[in-house]
Amino acid sequence: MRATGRDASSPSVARPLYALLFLSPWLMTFLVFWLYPLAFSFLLSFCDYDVFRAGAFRWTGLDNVVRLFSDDRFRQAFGNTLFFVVGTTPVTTLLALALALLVERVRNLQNLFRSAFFLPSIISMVVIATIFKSFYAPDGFLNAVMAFAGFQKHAWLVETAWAMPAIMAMDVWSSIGYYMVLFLAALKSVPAHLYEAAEVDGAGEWAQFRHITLPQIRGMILFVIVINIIRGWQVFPEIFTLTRGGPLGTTDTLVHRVYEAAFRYHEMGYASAMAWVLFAVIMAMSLVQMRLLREKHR
Amino acid sequence: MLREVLRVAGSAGRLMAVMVMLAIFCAPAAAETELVFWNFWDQKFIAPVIARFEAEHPGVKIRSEQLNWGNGLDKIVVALANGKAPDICELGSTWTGKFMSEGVLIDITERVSDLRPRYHLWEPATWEGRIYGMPWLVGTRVLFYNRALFKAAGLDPDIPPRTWDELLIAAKAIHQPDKGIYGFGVNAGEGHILYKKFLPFVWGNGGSILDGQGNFCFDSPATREALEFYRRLMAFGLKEKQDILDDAFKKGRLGLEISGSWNFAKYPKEAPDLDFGTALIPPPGEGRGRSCSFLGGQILVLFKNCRDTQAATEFLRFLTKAENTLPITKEALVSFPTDKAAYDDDFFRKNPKLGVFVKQMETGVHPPVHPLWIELESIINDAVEKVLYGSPVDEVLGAAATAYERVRLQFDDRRKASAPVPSSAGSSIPVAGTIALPVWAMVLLVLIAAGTVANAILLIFIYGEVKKNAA
Repeated sequence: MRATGRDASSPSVARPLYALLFLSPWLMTFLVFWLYPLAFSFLLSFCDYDVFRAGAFRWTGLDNVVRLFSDDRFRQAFGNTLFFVVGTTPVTTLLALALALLVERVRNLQNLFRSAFFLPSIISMVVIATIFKSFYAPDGFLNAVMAFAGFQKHAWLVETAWAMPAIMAMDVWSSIGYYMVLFLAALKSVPAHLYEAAEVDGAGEWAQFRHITLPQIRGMILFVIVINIIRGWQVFPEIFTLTRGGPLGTTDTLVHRVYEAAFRYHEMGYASAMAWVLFAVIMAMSLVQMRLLREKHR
Repeated sequence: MLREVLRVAGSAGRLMAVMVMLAIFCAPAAAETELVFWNFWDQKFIAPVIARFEAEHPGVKIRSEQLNWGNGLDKIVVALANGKAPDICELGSTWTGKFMSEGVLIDITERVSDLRPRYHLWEPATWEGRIYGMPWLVGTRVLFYNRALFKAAGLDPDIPPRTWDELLIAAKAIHQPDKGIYGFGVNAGEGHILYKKFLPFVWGNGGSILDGQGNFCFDSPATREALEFYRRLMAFGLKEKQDILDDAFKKGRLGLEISGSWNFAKYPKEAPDLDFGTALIPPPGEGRGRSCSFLGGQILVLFKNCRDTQAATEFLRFLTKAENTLPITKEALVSFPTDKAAYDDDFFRKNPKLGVFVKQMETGVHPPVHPLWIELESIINDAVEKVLYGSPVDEVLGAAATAYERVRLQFDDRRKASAPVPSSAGSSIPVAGTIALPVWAMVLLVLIAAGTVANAILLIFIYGEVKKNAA
């Protein structure tokens, strides 16, 4: 039943070679555009390499990593990024879930709501940031609302206390729709008979949510949190468009630091070292979360 | 019949032979030098000039490619590292220190030195007495003041502030934040602009960033005084980004700001009724110090891989002529020609507000042309920003000196490291390609090979799994 004549005639070792051949277009691009740069940046992270001063290219071992730990700016950027991740992830996840629950209840025009909330996530972050720049301006919309409500006006992107929260709020707004759609999909896949049974047993709305919906979509919740955290560590276009790390470095993030080191100060080795530290952080966090995800599933 | 065919074939063959020969003979004659020119301007300004140049210089073609200020420098650096730098390139005048000192530009001293007396802004094109670029455009900033707000505050609109004290008094008189009216525009929240606005106060007060020997002397009493003054001024100011300050001034809600000629391009359409004046940036006191402003501009350079230095220099000389730069100035109003002949034009003579810019330019100071300027710029910017946000002046200046010391040591380190192999850096452009030492190449190859093998193993494994599942 298993081995047909044709299968037996072709040596089983040749198959993977054919597969390799057919996969070669992808393999080539993988090698040239992924593996090679990856390997190169890994090597660079142990070197001192100023693009302008190629003659001074040299192996410095762990100097770059040591320097990272005494670099105030890097430490500040690390703290800021952590703040960004810790600040945006729960808010985005909870709001997206709440929004999904709301939209799911809407019977008429559900598509309209879904598209409306999803819209920001297909707009380029640079465009969103440019729009928010005028939104946060001294005589922008936000200040008009603040003044109308009797609150003090703020220079949102210039005050050290407000710049980062302002960017975080923008990020939450722009990414919420994407996660809402993910949650909607998860909610749709919860079997309806569970709710019917619960209703028969006299379970209220909250009890249904707590004991049926939440356990059923737990996988998706964890997935959203993981993606959110990974994205949060890599935050860059918002920063680059709105503040470039200012004021006083309060919105400086890790990727922005990598950018500055590489393209402003041309220190490719140092920038690579930073990028690999960032990689290690994200990797470690993702591994921890994968573990959690697995345990919860059992 | 057969003969007919042969005849046709024969003549066709002859024709082809002639064509091939023509092609061979004509090829060298028709081969044009195409020079790639990277610049930051809308092509509508550049294309007509190139067309005129090409008409005058048959055989030379210029291909213009536009960069943007957001990531232009990144692109140039990456291209340089890959050995793909353009033949001709426009550089911001604060970048040239690095490029010139690293020896990636062509020395054009002999080809342009006759133009020296006729042009502005040679300083950022000169390194150790040699000229590595052609000044193209130059820009400065002056004091803008709102005459209507001056009148409303009981100040004489015909007498703009002439000293630091008068500037402070004017800002104080105008400042009414609860009504949305602010005295002086203080730049904040942007990394690359604040120093341009603050340094004029240091320079005007006799201070500087590096002394004659190249030592850091920014932490001098002159800077201290300027910082203290700036902080006092800030009490009557709007602390915001440049475009927001310009906008507030345009809407008549900002009394005074230091800004550039780009504003003139907007006023006629967006704020035709704005009653404003321009004035020189005030010196510290009457008879003390001098009026100073930041001077910056664009320098045209040739990278070492330029394919035709002769033609490229011709193009630089052509492009920078007053008649070719004036149209850009008149329309974009961002910077002015470096060619002094342009200033006889009615455009400057009949507009006193622009005249102030021309006058300010005479006492303008270009920041140090130094290989570490990018680092210095951020050190200075950080220092001023820290003071604006409330840090004590002494602490900030001490930290700036320390930061510079660290950067300088690292730079010296690198220079020493690259010194033993001057031949490799001297003859060709030091690019990434030349660092491909055999060892590195080997390591990389091994890694790539390992990757391929890993992939193959993975594939075989997947294949096995699929087979198992199928079974």
